[in-house]
Amino acid sequence: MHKYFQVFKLSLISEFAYRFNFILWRFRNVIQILVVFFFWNSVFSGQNEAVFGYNREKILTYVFGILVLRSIVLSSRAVDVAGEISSGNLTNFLIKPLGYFRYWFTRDVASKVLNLGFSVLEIALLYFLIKPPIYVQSDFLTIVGFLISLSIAVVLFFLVLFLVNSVSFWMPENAWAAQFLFIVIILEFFSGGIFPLDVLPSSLVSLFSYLPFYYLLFFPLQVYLGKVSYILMFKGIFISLLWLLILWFCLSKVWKMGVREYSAEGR
Amino acid sequence: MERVILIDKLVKEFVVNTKEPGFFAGIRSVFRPKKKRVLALDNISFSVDEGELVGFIGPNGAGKTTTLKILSGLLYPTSGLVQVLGFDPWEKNHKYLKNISLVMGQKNQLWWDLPAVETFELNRAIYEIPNRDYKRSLDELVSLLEVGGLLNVPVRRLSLGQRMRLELVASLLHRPRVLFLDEPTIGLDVLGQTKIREFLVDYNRRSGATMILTSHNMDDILNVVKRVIVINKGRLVFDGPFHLLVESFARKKVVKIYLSDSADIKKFEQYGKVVKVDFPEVVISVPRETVALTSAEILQNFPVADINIEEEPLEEVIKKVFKGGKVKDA
Amino acid sequence: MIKRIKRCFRIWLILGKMSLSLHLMRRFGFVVFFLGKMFRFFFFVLFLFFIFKRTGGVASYSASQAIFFFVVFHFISSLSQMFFRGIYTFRQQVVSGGFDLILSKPLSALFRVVFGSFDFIDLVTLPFFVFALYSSGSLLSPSLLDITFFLALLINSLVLSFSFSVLVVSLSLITLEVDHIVMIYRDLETMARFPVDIYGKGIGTILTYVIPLGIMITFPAKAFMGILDIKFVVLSFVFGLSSLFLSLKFWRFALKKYASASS
Repeated sequence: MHKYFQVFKLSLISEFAYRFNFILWRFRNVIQILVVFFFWNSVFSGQNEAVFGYNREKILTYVFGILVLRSIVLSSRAVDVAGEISSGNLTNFLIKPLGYFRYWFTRDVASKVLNLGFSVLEIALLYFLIKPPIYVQSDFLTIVGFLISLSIAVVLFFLVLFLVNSVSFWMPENAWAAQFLFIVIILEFFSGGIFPLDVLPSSLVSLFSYLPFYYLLFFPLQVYLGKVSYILMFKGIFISLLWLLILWFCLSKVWKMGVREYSAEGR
Repeated sequence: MERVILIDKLVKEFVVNTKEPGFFAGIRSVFRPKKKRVLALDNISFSVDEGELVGFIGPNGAGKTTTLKILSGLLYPTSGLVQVLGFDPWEKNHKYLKNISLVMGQKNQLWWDLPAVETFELNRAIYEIPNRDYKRSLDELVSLLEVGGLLNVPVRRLSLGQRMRLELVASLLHRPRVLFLDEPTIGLDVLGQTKIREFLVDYNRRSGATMILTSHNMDDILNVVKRVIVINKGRLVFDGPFHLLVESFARKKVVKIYLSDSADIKKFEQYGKVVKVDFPEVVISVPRETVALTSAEILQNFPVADINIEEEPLEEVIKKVFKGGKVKDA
Repeated sequence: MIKRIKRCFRIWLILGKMSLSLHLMRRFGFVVFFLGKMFRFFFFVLFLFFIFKRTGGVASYSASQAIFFFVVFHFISSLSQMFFRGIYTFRQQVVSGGFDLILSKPLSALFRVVFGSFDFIDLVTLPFFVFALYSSGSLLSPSLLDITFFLALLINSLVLSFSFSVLVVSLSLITLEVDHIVMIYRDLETMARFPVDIYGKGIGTILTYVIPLGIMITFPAKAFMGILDIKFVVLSFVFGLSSLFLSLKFWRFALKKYASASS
């Protein structure tokens, strides 16, 4: 365990080494959130009734919730893995007595801690600047459900990201394209990172609810906002756990095949 | 002979923002940068005639690259006169730029992922080279540099040496009258260096182009140029024929003796400095003037199997050049 | 003058051919990027459609107007990225010293740097945006004058976008933190997906005149709908021309600064 703690520490330090980049990256996050915030603010300024099951308070909480959940779920250093594989750097890890997944998960956690810290600060700052109404969940069981679904989301994202990174084993020069398509585009929309999914017709939403992306941001936030009943909450947790197992299984298979391919090529 | 390059009392001063460590110092430096003046070129004067091939040497940071950049119009001189082919380089008159070329050993103009011939076509359009001239130049350069089979290979698949030769083709297609070469052999293996060197000498003779060549590599200077200009810390230290440089700085010769039998090594000290003793080899360094006498005495007094008299290694000479002040103009 | 333009155009074509061959070499990435861009576009339109259908309009704009604003945003941002792609790779050229070689050639360095790489992915997506522009625009039944103003303002937007590229390129000569400036601009640019007045008076004004997104994107779209006062049309052109002038001046300043900096 000690060595992973060292990895954690070093990760934090190296993030600080690029602090200027980091701060600008956070700045960009805030801007992105502000764009969405002002949009919804003006959608709801004309009317007081709920739309799509959101009132003004809940939709604005959704927007800020996305800022926090992004930093918990989507902050990651493991995006570099694709590059490690295609550049041949992976070899340095394969010969070390270190769990590769555990290593990157630790680095992810360091990144998440840092980003979470900053996003909390940003929210506090924005809260004082624009004084949005924020919905606070008080039901104990719901909060527990939220935390569970959030933990599942973290692991799910790690698995999805690593699966996408594995493309590098077979197409090293196209790894970035796969990352772009899956992480930047598809994941953003299907996870509710840009718009809450329930804006769409309910038939589409229920279709999406069988995809793993749904459980990264959208579902945990729905739970937090109290928009799902206990039964639906348990159903969602069950489906996401199922996905977790499926992806875990796939990843371990794909990774083994990938490493074999990698060694065969002698990169 | 026409004077092609004329530099008179050239001074170049850089203003450098000093960076302090720490985040807040970094922020502060954005608003109120601490500035420091650095004198890169200090009152340099020289001129180059048409068709000359001049070696420009000096240690790192001496100001070689700065001079070449000023000559090719990239840098703005602080004061002094700079004239090449009758133009002020800084004005970047296209008529001027069409007549020069800048080759930098570590920087490439060839497009990395494309075959070199694509970049050649681009240069043809940029320099407005007429079709027939383009074909003739290309054929000539390709055969001189032996790159015939490489034109249609993506540049990234070529070795550094091959790439450098193609860079030269790209830079010479428009038949520049003046050529600035900044470390053209850097990073190449011995064979690659030799090819480029031979080409440069040959090209200089064929085309009559004026060339200035900077290098770290003494072999470049030794085998290519007749005239050298040495600068150190922004000052001109020497300007003249290469053999004069050696004569005026290499005051000593190196005598290598191979003994056939054991002898009292200490006795060698009376002739000069003993540089190395590794029986049967003894190396001593002897003043230039007395070398003939000394070797005769050694042959007489010691059991000598073989004796060799050599010049000091060039690197040593150059080191002395950098240490000493201005010696003499040729 | 004509001769110079002709020569620049010829060089532009050659550069375009070169970047096309680069694109063709990375066909897989090309397809993926194309699909990604299209997916993002259609999904966004889908969202906007359902949001506006349910809420019956936002800040006095109807659903079809909102979608038109969005399409105009994509169209203009795509056009400027297609032509002025060079700003994304320029910093790298400065750092590696490749820019020195560009500078020593008898061709305007600014031209080479800003127009130097043409983005064919955007060219392929363009027909879709033109179609989207046509189909969402025909719902708004513009007059011929509206369309004329729209097209003129579109050109003005490209002038503004060019000025912005010149600004970025010049900044890259002075400081190395330019990548972030570009990315932050791109984030801010997304605010113009919606008409900038929905952000309220304060932010709306900043977005119109300081980051000129309003002038670049919202104004042309509004002119198309016939809801832009003529004085704003005039103002847009004044703004476009003066930013062009200022940015070119800044480029010359930056070049001189670069020339006196240490290597």
